[in-house]
Amino acid sequence: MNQANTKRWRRLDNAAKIFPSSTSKSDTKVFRFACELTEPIRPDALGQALDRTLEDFSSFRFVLKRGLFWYYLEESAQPHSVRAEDTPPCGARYHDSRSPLFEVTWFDCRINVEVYHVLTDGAGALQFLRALVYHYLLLVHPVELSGCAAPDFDASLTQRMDDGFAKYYSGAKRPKLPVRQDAPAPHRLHGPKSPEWRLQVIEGQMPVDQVLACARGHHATATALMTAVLMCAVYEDMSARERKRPVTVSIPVNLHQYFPSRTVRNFFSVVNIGYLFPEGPPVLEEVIASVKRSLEVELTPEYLQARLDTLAELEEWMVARVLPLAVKNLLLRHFYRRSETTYTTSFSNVGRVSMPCELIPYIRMFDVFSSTGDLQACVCSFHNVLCISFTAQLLSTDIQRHFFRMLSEMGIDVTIAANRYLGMEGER
Amino acid sequence: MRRCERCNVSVSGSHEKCPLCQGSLRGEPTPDVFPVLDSVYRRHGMLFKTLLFLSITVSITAVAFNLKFPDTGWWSLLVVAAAGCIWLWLFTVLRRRSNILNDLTNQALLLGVLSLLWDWLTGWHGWSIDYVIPLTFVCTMITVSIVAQVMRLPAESYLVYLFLLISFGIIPAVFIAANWSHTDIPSYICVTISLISLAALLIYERRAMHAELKRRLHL
Repeated sequence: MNQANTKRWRRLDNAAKIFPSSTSKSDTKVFRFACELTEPIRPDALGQALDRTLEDFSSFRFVLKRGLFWYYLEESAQPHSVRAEDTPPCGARYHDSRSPLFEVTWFDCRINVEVYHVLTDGAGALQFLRALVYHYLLLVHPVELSGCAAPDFDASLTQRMDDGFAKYYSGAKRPKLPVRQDAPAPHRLHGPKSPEWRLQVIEGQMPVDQVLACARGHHATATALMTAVLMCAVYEDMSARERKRPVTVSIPVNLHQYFPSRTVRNFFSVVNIGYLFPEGPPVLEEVIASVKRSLEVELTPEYLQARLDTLAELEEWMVARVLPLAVKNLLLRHFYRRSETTYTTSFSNVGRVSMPCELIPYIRMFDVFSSTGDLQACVCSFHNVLCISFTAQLLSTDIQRHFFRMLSEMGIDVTIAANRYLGMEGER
Repeated sequence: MRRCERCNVSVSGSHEKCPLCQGSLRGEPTPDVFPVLDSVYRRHGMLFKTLLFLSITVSITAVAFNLKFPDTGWWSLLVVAAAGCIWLWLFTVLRRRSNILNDLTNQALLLGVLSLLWDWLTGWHGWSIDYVIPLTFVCTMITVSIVAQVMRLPAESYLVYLFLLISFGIIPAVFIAANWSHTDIPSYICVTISLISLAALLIYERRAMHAELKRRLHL
């Protein structure tokens, strides 16, 4: 029959195992990194740049397949191409065992990379986009950028394919995570949702120096400040009865900062930061102080190691492993739905994006956002532009309005950009 | 750049209203950051609804007639069961329509199970194990092999389905051994072809089979 089988394949990493079963039409588990250049994109050059980038990031060529017990990723020889953006952002990527798990699109000055979370996390996708932008700019400006070195990323192909969770699972006897006191369940966002699961994106661009000055003025980091402002914005929108519940923000943590792995696969954890507003008007200073305290407690290598161990141990549990995939899917979906009720919204700070200095004049900004069932915020900054992107299925824009109005009241210059659907503007 | 005075923010793009407060904007529009997209509504909804409505109408009418004339036997149950089977089959076909081999395998299995059920519920004449099950598996096995060759599919995309069908194809050996079938020629044909295919797989695709099973069965 046909040629001998030498396809490479790999297991899903610990974090990725939850994604196939928790993917739905409303929450596609797809996220987007975008880079806005100072000039319109040339599709032919972008296609060539993609081919060069894929040579270094072969793990992006994998497709998702079903085994009897687990999903797994298998190498695919399908060619990849770029296309103009003409569908809603973060649409479903995984349809069947042949669907590519990422896509590169362009619109005007923007290069978008959309990735299914099974393939990699934000850190991995960002490495990919940085390499893509580097190759693209080198193709478009060969003379000016002839001496430019590639973005710093020192990792061999095998290091990039490492499973960070397996590598740093200590196997210690059941670690003790701090037990939470019995607090009321967190507030959940609700309200009419967008038809056909169309994702609403509203992003605010602002100067990094103004945000940092503002954060210093409050003796906090930018993450703590923005988390606190987000909590206040959610609180403003709650009814009097709902205000008895805490506002809990789930914050993904990039584990590369705590464990020296160079993988481009998933390697992140999550901490939940809650705040129960006392009666009376909210005081931002108090919220910031509480967020700072919680972050100091939870963002320690010991806490993150304990969490990593707990999750890895769950995966090693033999009884769970031998359940057929269909049963696993039902169970995992149930646990995921339950974990969703432990936070109100989610806030993801990707941090500063660095690029070789020669490329900086050609790049205006970087942007990141993710699919969500209700409301989620993502932040990244480049040079002096910080971009906070809210994605929402909820039609109401009240939380976003409170959030950006609070920032502009602090004296920060905010520029809003949003996506639009024909015939929707009046309804929003 | 346009500006919303109420929110005190600038708005890039050609928005008429502020994305935050839906108030009016002032100033000159700038190029859009995102494409303005058409609303795409679901198509094919009407055909599906009409078919569903028709099958429910037929089922209700049949049951009503049957209750009015009870001495004609419980034939309306067959009508309702047939409608249910058609929907089950349609669902199976459409769900995996992008992967034709998976679709064929699922249909063969469904046809086998449904024919057994119908045969049993209509007073066991044995036509399901005599003809339907062996012939379905043989035909599907041959179809899958032909599709794989014609579409030049790589080994890993059809091996697992062929292997499953071969395993099903050996089942009629039980019918012969237990002496359940009245006409056993189709069962003999099915088992013979399955065993020959298995031998071919083991000889020509042993490594690919091994790798595929390792992937599909990893714990």
